[in-house]
Amino acid sequence: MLRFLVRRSLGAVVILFLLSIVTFLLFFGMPRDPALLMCGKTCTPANLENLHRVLGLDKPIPEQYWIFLTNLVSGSDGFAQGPCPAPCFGYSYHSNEQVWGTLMDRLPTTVSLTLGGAVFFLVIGLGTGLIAAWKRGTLIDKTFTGGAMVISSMQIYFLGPLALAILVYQTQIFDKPAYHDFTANPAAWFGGLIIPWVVLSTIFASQYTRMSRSSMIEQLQEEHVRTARAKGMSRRYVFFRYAWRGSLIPIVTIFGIDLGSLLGGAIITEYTFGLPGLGRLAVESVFFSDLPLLLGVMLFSATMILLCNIVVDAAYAFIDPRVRLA
Amino acid sequence: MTSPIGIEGGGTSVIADGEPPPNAKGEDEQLIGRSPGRLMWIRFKRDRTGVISAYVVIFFFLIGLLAPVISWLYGKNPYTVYADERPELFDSAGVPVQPNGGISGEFWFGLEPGNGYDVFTKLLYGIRTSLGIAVAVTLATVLTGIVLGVTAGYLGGRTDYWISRVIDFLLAFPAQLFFIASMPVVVSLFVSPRDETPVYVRVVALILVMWFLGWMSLGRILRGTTLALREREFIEAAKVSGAPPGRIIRKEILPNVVTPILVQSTYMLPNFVTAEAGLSFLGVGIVEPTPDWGQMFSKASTELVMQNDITYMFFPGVSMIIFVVAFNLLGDSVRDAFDPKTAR
Amino acid sequence: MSRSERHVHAAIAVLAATALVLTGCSSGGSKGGGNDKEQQENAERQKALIEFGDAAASKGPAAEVPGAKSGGTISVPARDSYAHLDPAQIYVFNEMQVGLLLHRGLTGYKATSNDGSKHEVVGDLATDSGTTTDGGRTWKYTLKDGIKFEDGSAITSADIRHTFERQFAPFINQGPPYVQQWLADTPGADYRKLLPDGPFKGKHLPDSILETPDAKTVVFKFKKPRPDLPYALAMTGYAAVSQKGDTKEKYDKAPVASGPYKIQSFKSGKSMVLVRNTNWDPATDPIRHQYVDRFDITFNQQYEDSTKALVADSGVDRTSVSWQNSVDAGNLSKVLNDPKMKSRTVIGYQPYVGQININTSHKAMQDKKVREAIAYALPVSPFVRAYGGSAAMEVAGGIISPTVSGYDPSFDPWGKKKNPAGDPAKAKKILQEAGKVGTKLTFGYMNSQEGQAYSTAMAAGLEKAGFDVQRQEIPAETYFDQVSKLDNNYDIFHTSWGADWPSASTVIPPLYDGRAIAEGAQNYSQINDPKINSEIDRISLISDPAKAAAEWEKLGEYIVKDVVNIVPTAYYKQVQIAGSKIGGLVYDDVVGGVDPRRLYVK
Repeated sequence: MLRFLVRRSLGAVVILFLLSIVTFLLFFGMPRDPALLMCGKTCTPANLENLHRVLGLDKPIPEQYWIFLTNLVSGSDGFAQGPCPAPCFGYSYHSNEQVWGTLMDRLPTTVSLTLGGAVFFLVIGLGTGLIAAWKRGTLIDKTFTGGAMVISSMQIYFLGPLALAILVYQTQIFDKPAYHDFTANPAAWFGGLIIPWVVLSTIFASQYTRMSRSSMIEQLQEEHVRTARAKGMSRRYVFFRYAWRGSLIPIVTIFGIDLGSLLGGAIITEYTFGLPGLGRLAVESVFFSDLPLLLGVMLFSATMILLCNIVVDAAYAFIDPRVRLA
Repeated sequence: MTSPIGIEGGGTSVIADGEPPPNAKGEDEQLIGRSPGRLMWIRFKRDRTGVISAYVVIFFFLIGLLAPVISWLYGKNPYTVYADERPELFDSAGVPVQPNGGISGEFWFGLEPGNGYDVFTKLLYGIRTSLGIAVAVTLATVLTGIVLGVTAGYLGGRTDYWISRVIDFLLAFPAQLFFIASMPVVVSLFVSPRDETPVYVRVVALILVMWFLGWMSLGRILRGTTLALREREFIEAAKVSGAPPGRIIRKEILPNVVTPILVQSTYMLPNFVTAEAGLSFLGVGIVEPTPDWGQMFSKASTELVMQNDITYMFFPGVSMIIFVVAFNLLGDSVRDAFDPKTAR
Repeated sequence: MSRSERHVHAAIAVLAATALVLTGCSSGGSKGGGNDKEQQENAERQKALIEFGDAAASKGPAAEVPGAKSGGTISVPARDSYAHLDPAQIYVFNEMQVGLLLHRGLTGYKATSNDGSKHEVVGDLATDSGTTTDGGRTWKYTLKDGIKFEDGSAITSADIRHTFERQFAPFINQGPPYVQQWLADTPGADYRKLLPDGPFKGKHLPDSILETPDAKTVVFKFKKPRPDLPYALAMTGYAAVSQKGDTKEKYDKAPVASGPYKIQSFKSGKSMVLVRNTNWDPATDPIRHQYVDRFDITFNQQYEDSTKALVADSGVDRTSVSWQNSVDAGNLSKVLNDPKMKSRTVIGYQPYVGQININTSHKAMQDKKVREAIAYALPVSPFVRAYGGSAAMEVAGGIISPTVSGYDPSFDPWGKKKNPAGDPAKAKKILQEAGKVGTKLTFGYMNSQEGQAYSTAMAAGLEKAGFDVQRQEIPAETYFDQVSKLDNNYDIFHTSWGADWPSASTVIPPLYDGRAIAEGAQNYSQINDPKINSEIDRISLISDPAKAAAEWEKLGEYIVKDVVNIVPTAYYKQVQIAGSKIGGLVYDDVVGGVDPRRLYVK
């Protein structure tokens, strides 16, 4: 187990390293000069040049990258804006705030959105999937699978604005979604996120419905399950005790991937509902040609994805005793 | 970094299991003595859902192809600013005065809030743009998937190792984030920031960006299939008889990977359509006034529309749902036709 | 002030997708009839010019607001936190508003009517609006007795000297540059050479520039006549800074107040509490009141949130009013159509005027016929539409805003008020006569939701007249840098400009003076017209503000009608709402929003 974790973590670090290089290079292809952006409305060529120097943009790209890496690992006091302890992504070009601080500011929104949404879509998705499998071939099954088929073909960028238009703008039943601090006001936190949760989980749940149904049906045809049934165990017992456990394996895989990519920033969801999470931060950082911020979000987001993948793989060992981690 | 249990599908969770068992024909073939393609066709024709979905999908492609003709017959184009041409139909904020988004005998799907474009022609042309891009991306990814996947699988060894590592690496990319970050860069590669960005540049950039992170899952599947095929006797036989590798790949391997390619493509295409629409929704894809499916969603998510004209949302929304559902059903049918063992 | 800050926010606004929107059918045909009347009222309002008040007018205390009561707390929801509180760094609308309560300058605007429409520039810390004996080269100010900072120390001429000297320090880089430029007698940023470190390294401005002969007297000495000085000094940017309490960079978060309120607490991005400044003596202040005990300001309140709370009008929201926030798109029609709510709303102009610039440095644009054709063909309705319709934008005839002295509502040379969609037929005829059909027009537009919307429709209108329009997107955050480059590619592009004080002297010279054409300057159309230049020189010397206003108006009409280097698009407007227990609610034309000084709790 330990060896597995170490090996996978090393792999993840290599990928993050490569990703940071790609992002770094990508940034220098951007058609905008961040110094120009910071220079403001009374920009003189001298000011611009000075900013280039201050931002370190006049150094060769490999050197800039090296500085970025050393700062990341050991922190730096060299920033004009103040000290920057490790992990130091530097200061945003646009807002002059510490990137790590900004990431941590935005994280609670994304985590709330993801975890809340995950609870909804797991419960709904697995529940409907199980019912459909249990009632296989009946009207209930057909309704669920058909409904899931249609809903999973919807996009957040359609369902989100539609929900907003109906619930917020037309009927004014709900407030516009917003993030409120959970510790300060749990009710406001819940109320502010309920629409995004429902929309997000509607679309995700439909996929879990289909998946858990088909996975369950597959399991019911497995040798060991059929043997158990033949030995005279009740259908209910076999269904929940044997088949369900086995059917979870593919679902855990997909759930891990979904969770990772959502934690890395649900870009379209956050954009649609105007939630200040990591996904929106990413869009903003591209908008403002903000390299430190862009790198920060990219690496953070990729870390989330990789971390979740590792956790998922480790979790197999607990769900399925046949899997040995090597 | 390989997973102990293959996470083949990678990235998205839209499709439950896109990988068919590679050697799923064989027996049927010998018994009846028809070609696998013919068999597949017979099975597919029997599947009513599949046939209907196919018609719907074809309908969408026809709409896309014939958009100019239809618009010409209808007598309007998606670029006319009706808010200035016919100001009496709009209030000062550009919202159609008549109910239901200004639907009338003259404007079948109403008028777009804001500049007042004709929604009907805009939707036709929007479908045309989005489908065109998605088809191009699908072709590009399939081609790349074949080249890299089959190469890796057939050659094995060091080549296989490196191609697999590249696939792993690209699969770990935060894809959407990467799309957003790279779109302006790719666009700027083609035009100096001083010149107007022609529409085709945006289109090409979209294709490139989505292609770059789109081919891996197919590549991986093809690599696996080729790897399995390589050990089969008929390949061994071809090798022994002295056929050059190029010929073996062309004549022996490629015909045997057509199935996974077809099945995967039918799943990938709608995904590319929705991904392209997502980028345009975020404002980094196709922009006004070029009609585009995703751009219509972006318009639909403005306060102007959400507040005043909910009708407008349904045209891009419902049409896209129909399209994606039909395509996914078609994909299932195609897979079932190729691989009758899978119970759905 | 240019709208660049606001436009950077516009970039975010693309993400937030917040556009000021007028609701559907309500505003269809019914509004047209009211428009004429509205414009007449505007005209009435603007006939009164802002004059420079004498010593009698500058005496405190300010005239009571009718019905005003003392005491209570007012809650103030606001969208944006205050980035700057150091007066010298304040140049943005919402910071100026809070600055009115915190800081006092040598002069200020005294409302002479209770509807916020009539004003007079009077002495605030000074005994009058300033005296000059040589046509505006030398200005003398005498400080009042009994004026103090919040710590109880008297405000002396040393503080005023310090206030102006620190304007030259490098860390002061956000505020207005006018007085510094006048003192140094150079345009642009070169004024900093006059006193590179400010007063902080022992150097001071010589008596030949700024003289403080005794503790009560301040004398400004300029090389050229500067008749607008009393206006400029009324900006929050030139309000007094305590020499003793100056903490340099840190002053920006915790300034020493001189106005009726001081900062009790300020959490950037979260909240601010203002309480009475006991060392403020109403007898010295002709323009401010101190009715409420305390203002509770909460930041990060979006327009939708604040409007919703204020519309609901319950509990603490009854004593709430936002200074910054407008009524949001969604609630606009509801608010304007409900008579009960309408009494709690104010509507007024912001100081900005939008215009399409025609880049006269390009050969093709130097043909006046082409420019005239553009002026006729250009639809301005897309601009009004993109920003939310007639409650947010009003079609403009000229470049002088309704909030500036000299506005003439009947001036409309290109018929935009009657036909905002433009007149492509007439334009086409002009183009055909000039043989210029198919002229290529490169249209630079800001890559924002609004920019895309109006530029596509404007391009469609221009194309109907026979132009070949090439739209080019410009990233929102570098938009102004791009269009203010001398060597830019754009034939036409939109900018907007707001007067820093209600005189066209902060509009016409920076925008149209041919000698001010420079890299990054605001003569966007790069027009260098000898008549404009000479007129600017002539009118700048007129010391009677009423006479000057009339002359500026004439020059403005000449620019729009005869030079045609720009086509005006729209005047910016906004609607604001308050809770039912708020008294003294007035939209102040000079403030450009709710006047925080007059508020009281009913």
